[in-house]
Amino acid sequence: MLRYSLMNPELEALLKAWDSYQQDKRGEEARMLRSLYDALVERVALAHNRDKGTIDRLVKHSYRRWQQANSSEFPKLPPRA
Amino acid sequence: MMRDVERLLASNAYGSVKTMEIAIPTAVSEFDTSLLRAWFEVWIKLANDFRQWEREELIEKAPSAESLATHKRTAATLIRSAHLMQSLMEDPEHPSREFLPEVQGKLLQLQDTWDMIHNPMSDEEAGRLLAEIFPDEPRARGAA
Repeated sequence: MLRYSLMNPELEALLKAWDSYQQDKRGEEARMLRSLYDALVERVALAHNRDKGTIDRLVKHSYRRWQQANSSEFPKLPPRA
Repeated sequence: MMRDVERLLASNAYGSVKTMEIAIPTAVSEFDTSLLRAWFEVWIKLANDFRQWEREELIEKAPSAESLATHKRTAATLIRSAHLMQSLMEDPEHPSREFLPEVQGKLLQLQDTWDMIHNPMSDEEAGRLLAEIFPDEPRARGAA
């Protein structure tokens, strides 16, 4: 399993854009948020001379690791006895 | 129930039958809207509950094989039913078009999450790409 000790700002921006899209509860803004994410993916892909699909798959992979790291950072308190 | 209907029909004068003849077309004209609205409301509630479970069980933690199988099956049903609703609502004259953006958005999210969960990049490939593309900061390394 992968984990991240520090977050690259470029990767963090991608993960946050993907998270905003994923967290849209009503779904009505999902397409717009997906477009913003796609634009960011395109920009990063161009900057690093990679194809968009590779960056997209890398973000999707990293997102779950990021969420798992965040959710385990502050363990929930056990219920009171 | 059936007897009530029969009794009502038997006792009806011509005027009452005429009332029924007027009422039926009105009900039928609203039938498709009512059906889609009810379907949409049930579907959106199920999709929201599913996505909440998905987040808690498959995104925020490493999923079990059972959770993965349940997700695959249920997500496929939600995606197929969303396609059906979408095709009905895409009719430009359909009265339930107001729900279309929400259905399209949820469908997109369901498909993307499906891809994220069931078609992931391998840890090895991700580690290599992270080191190449973002070499300075995110340290992707094998955990114990």
